[in-house]
Amino acid sequence: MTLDEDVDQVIAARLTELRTTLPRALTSDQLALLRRRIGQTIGQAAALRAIALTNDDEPATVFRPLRSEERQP
Amino acid sequence: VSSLAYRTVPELGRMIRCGEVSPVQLAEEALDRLETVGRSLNAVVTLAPDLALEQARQAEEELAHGVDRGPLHGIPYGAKDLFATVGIPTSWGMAPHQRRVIDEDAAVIERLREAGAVLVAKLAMVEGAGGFGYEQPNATFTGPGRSAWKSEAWAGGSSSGSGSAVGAGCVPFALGTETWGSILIPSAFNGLTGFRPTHGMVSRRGAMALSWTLDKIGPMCRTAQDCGIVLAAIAGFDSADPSTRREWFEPPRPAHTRLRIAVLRGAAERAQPEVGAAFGASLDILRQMGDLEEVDLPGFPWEDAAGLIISVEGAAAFEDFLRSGEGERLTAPEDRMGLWEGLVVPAVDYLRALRVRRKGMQAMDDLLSRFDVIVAPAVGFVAPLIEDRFDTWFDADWGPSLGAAGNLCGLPSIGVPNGVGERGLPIALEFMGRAFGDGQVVAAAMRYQELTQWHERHPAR
Repeated sequence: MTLDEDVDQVIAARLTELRTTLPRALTSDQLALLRRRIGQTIGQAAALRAIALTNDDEPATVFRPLRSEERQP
Repeated sequence: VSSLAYRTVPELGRMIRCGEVSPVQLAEEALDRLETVGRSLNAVVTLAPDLALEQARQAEEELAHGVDRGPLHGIPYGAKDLFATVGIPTSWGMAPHQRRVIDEDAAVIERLREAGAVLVAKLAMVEGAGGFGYEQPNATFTGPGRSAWKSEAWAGGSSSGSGSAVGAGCVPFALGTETWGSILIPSAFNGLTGFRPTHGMVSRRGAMALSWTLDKIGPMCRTAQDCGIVLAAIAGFDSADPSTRREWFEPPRPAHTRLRIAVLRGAAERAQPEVGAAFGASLDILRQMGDLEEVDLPGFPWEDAAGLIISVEGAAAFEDFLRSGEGERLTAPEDRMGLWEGLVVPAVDYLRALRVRRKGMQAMDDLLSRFDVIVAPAVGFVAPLIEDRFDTWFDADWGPSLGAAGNLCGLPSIGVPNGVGERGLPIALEFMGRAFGDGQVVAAAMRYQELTQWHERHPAR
């Protein structure tokens, strides 16, 4: 299987999941656009994998335990 | 042209305090211009005459009794229609929410009220702040936003109405938001000075969320000085927005010390010729302000990371809406299944984007710590025509830009007019700085505007 065929299969699998969870009629144009957008997210993820990360590279989000009195009423 | 239109905030403040004009007159003038000029540009969603006149009368009374809330007291403004406002519909530009009232005030609306500013209108925007993937100007129920300079050209998005209403002199300033380009682009297309603060400077409470980690709220004004004044009123800690910091922002003075200015290498080479020429002329001005050094951005997939994060956070923020089927009622056909792709991105891909983002932020700060600001053309081209599809424009390669990296890293940025492009439309120069270096960025832009007059130009409306 080539890389492109692999990507096509991932797009098809994600599309199937979407059409199961969001069962709406789509025109052929909408379907093509959705395929393209899913393909974009796959391409974006592939580009991100080109950046080397180590086990301790944390996401850029800060988890901070909360005390209720710190929230406004 | 009215003698009150196109005035800056300090000019109007002086006129109010000298008795040359009253807050009520200013509010009435703004309401009139929004009704006529603003509506012709599709800039308005809802006028708020009752609230505006009540707030204006209160400002008038307070000032008459010596209660002065500062430079915005009695000054009218408009807010992008994604800020919640008591008693006024908040549509987020989306037809399904056209009549919805969220009965609370967003943090920025509260803060501007405390500063004595007068809310006159909720302004038009691209549906869902553009997160649904619109590919044309006609992507909101109020019709395509039209540029203040030429109504056949697009006002830019997603803060379209904020851009054209300020650009056409309907209000002296407006609030916009930017996830990726939504303040700087409409500011450039309408000849404004627009400021995107550091993520965390301004509370997002009560604002529509598209991407919790990328959304920023900022002022769209006539000058950099006005941006500093408005930012000082809206910035600050809010326990309801965990990204905000316990720091205040003071409006800066123009930067008169010699600056260290980074110039994004190759940023104008593939831009429209007029944009390139204006950038070259701007560099001559900047040489009077400081020492210039050409730099490249660190090599990261900025666009890919920002795009993936917006897709996933947007899909999460709008998940109930997507599952409800209400998306079918959005205006642009391509928006009706917008963000669906974000529902099926693996969590590890999203987290990888956030992990790469952290490394990118470190690399970016290593670069910017050597400079006061970095500059580049704000946009490589002038406003497209209303009938244009975006693939002609936004998918074209205009060369390196600061937009994706700056937004991904949450950095402050200001766009200032710096010339005239194709069809007589305005173009802009961008100054960007380190995180929480908002004051330096505004100060540099103020100095640039002391040395230039581009921000004083306005359409003959």
